Amino acid sequence: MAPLSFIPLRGPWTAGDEGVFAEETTVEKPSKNLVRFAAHAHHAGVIDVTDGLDLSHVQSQEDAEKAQEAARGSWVERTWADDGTAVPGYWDGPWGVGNLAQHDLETAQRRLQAARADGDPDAVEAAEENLVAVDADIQARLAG
Amino acid sequence: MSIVSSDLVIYNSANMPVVDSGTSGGAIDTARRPDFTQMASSDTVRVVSSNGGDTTQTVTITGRLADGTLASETLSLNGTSPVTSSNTYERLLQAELSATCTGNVTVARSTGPTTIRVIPAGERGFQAVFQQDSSDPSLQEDFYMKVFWKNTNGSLALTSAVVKENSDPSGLITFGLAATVGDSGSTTNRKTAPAGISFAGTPVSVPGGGNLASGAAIGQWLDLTLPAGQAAVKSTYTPELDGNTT
Repeated sequence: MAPLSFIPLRGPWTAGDEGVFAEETTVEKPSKNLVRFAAHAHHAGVIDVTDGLDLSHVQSQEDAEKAQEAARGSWVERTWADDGTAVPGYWDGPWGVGNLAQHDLETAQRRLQAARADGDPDAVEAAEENLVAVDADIQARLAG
Repeated sequence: MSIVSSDLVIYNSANMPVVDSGTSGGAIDTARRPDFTQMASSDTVRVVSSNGGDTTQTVTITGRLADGTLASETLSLNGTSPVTSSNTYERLLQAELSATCTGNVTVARSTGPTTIRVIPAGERGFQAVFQQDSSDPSLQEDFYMKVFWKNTNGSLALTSAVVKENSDPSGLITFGLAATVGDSGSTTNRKTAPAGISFAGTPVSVPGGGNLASGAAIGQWLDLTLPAGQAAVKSTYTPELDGNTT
């Protein structure tokens, strides 16, 4: 394994259980895991790897976009209920599940923000309880 | 209603710099988002996937500690078993996966029912839009970042579409829309105003007749204005996309 040199850019960098690095560092014989972590951290912009960078450990943007398309799945067209109202369409892959979970979470959080802004203690308490319930619900949904 | 609010998704642009050098803006980046719920108090952060097979990816998180210093760390995902950060963060600034996951990844505080964000399957992470933007003791400073609103509905257009400001508690941010849908305009760096964009706090119709077609996205530039000597700010900004649907 070639030497690995890097400079932390955004404060001390903790590389899993490989150590904490606060200053410019050169590791003469880095572990495979440290090389992998360093590539990921370099990609994320938290360190600058100046020697020994192996970006084969990082997914390309092109591959990420292909993976996202696959995760999205197929679009299920809207349908119409007997009373004439629309039943919205949706993406049937796991992306749709996560996207909707995040949306529900944001809705509950906005309700709490609004209640706090209004200053009504009862509304705040109700919104806090709602957020707890929504958070538990989305985690249950994500767990499938 | 056939387009639902969860169909209207806000995404990063390709270049979201955290320093004053380097391009800001560009095309849409549908792998990353600029929205999440900030931690209400200092805590460690746990990360977990909904899929047991997500064990080869890492997540790199960046935040500020209680004393204001920056810190970052890289954690290996362990499928449906949560992994916990070593650092206790006062605020989170960014979370970035090394690769897309099969499952949906939850980033949360370790205590309480306080999910920070769900990273949907196939996406790579999220970040705060404005971070490490410094005021000047004697001059006003402006910082420009770009996000996108995308209509992810698979078949319907959002009509009479308008982007507006929902809330700006700090009162420091204004916005302007790109001249065309699906643009890839950028600026030299985050302190240089993008050409041809007018900034204000009033609602703006989506160009091209107000229609945001299925799969289309409109760029929204944000201008953070820091008056001379501006004190530190930890705040939020909530934009909104409204429109009609059949």
